[in-house]
Amino acid sequence: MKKLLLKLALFAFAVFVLLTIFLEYNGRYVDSFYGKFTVAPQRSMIFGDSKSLMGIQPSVMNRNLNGYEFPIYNYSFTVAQAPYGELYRQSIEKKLAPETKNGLFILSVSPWSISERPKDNVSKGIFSEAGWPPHNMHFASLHPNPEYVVKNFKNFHFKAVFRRVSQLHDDGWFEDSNVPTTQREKDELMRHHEEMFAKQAAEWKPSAYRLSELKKTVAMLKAHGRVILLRMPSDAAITKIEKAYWKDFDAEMRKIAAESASAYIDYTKGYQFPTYDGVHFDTKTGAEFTKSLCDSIAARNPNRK
Amino acid sequence: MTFNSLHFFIFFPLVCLFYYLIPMRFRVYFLLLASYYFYMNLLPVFGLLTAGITLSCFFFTRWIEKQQNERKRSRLMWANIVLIASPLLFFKYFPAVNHLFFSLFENAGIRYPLPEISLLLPVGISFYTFMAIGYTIDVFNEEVEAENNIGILALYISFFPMVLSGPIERAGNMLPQFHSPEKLKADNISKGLKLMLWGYFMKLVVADRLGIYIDEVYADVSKYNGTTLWITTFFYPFQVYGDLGGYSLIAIGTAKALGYDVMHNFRRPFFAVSISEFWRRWHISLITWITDYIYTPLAYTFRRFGKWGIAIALMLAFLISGLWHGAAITFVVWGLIQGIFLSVEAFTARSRAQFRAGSKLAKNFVFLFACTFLTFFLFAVSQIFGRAKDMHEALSVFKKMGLQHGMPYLNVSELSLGVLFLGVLLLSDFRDEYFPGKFKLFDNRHFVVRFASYLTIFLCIVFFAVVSDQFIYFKF
Repeated sequence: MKKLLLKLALFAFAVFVLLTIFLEYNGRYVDSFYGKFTVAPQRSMIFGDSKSLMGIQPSVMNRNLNGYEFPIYNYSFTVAQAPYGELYRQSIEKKLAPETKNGLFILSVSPWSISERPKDNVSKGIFSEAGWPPHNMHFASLHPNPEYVVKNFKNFHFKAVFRRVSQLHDDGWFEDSNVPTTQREKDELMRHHEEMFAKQAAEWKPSAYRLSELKKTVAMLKAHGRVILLRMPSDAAITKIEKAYWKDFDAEMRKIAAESASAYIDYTKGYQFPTYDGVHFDTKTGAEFTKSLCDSIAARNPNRK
Repeated sequence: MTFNSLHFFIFFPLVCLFYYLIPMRFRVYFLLLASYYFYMNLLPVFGLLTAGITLSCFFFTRWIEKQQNERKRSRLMWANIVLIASPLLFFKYFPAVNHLFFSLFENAGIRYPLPEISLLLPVGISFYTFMAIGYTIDVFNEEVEAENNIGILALYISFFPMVLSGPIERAGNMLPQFHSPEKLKADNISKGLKLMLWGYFMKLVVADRLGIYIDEVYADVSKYNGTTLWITTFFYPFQVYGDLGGYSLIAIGTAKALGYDVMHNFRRPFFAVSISEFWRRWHISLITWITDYIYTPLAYTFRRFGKWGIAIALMLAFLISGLWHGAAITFVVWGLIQGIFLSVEAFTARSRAQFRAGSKLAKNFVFLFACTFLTFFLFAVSQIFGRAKDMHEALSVFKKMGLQHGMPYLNVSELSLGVLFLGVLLLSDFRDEYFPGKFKLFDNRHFVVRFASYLTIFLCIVFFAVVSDQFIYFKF
């Protein structure tokens, strides 16, 4: 029996080592978020959904902004995973280096990230994002991170290692090179997103709970540095749906910013940054947008450029 | 809980650990608790079914055993069979029968008193009901003694490795093992884990990968041409083999790790050279059950009709097998086709044997290959009735396969991986079929070869598994 246990231990060890080596070199390709849980706690971060995940490039910010505890890390996920709420706030707390005093925190907001979804039951503490990373992660900064592999194994796309069309960079930015190239493909994706948002507008509702959680998140981060609320550009048709869904959204954000002595930067009319599908930037536009964002941040605080 | 859930990967090692730690006399009761936890984890109310069947079998079989009067014994046996089969009949067939009457009445413009009803079929009910029926008949035939320990009988009905999709084991094999469980043996655990590893490979890497393409096509067959449907028809038997064959190996391996020997369910079916041989290699536990409890009594009843009696018995036995798979006309047709194939073989058995002997083809490779291919082809084509959702779809598939040809739709990335790993599976079966005991990898005498083989298969599962918690046979 001892011999069998030894062999099993050796087998487990070999699997662990091989998987670790594989994920070390290819983890960025086979899972969109694994890398986010292998880096150390951060001092400056970007939060939000897939718009900021793909559209804000930390490397551009690191080059164009200073005066903060940089480098900045992109800790954004997707709209399904990371709406503002108690769960995302707790995860942010885990990822934040506690000794940070002068960080920069950019919270990308949209009506969808502060909405109650059909599967939410706020009074019972049931949230649709529970069970997804980052909320199912106890260890947010472990390298390698077997907890992530075990809990989120079904999200791994090991085949992606052959294609390598998208990758999670070391700074948390998700680069997707698999973008549509023809106008027909772009229109199709655009139509898909329009339909999706129209459906969401009918089924979701603005959430007082998530709004108050956003305030708590801002307050928590404020103790560690500067907080920016950011609304990223979308296609005009999508913005129109959002406006109809939550008319006073910008006013609400401005109010939160004013109350917390933060800033609110609204790019809804930033049509100079076209999306390829109504909501997301390609790499080039993302870099241009990030540069513009740096200028906007610096302009609001000219002492730090 | 299913075998490929994270929950199971925590549950199984813990069960193994505690099972071997506690005193021998408590082990079966611990296993019973674990089995109920495993099954009720899917839906707590399912436990009532296994408990009800256990109670019914426990009391009726004891009465059968005590009763001396043959007619009364027979009545008691039938009473128990009716009682334990009624949940299966109700959950599986009532909605279909109700739907049939609903449609008939509606077409005739008459108001039908019941609405259309859709019931959740308790997972595994067909399997453990058949095990309970088999046990009752065995007690009646005095092949096994009625079990006096209700805990052990309950474990036989609900034993977690087999409760969801079999194998449909016999009381004569399992009850004695539950009475005297094996001591902890490294060999049992090692053998069990190897079987499980290969089972997961068959299920997650082969079956589910092929399933992506097949399910895509069958989601809307009207979109695809006949060539595509030929490809789908070719791969579907392999998907089912990987799915149920893989599941069975996981179940057998799980039981083995706990020290129990469970019958094998598949024996390299795609190397059979005739349909009758195929059915001796495919879903063995179901087919032997049907042979022992349905076909043999029927063949005996119809013996005066000679070969025709055998044909009638075969047709009825496979009709029941078809109905066991589902309450749909497609399964009835599927069963009848198997019955026809087997009847034709029964009628031509002597002339075929004479032909083989006369032409000295019995060991001719080309002839054997042709027979193997023909057997596979007949089975694969008949499986269209097993896969199509209704007769209309099945006939539409046949029509397209006959008339509509052209460039096939190929999901190259999924199919290429599926074919690659199917090749590995078939190569392993080929080795076991034609070179038994040779070119061993899992059982190689060199530790390094064994270790590398386990590691390779394990990593194939990690990297190429399609993660789903669906097993095709859960719905049966």
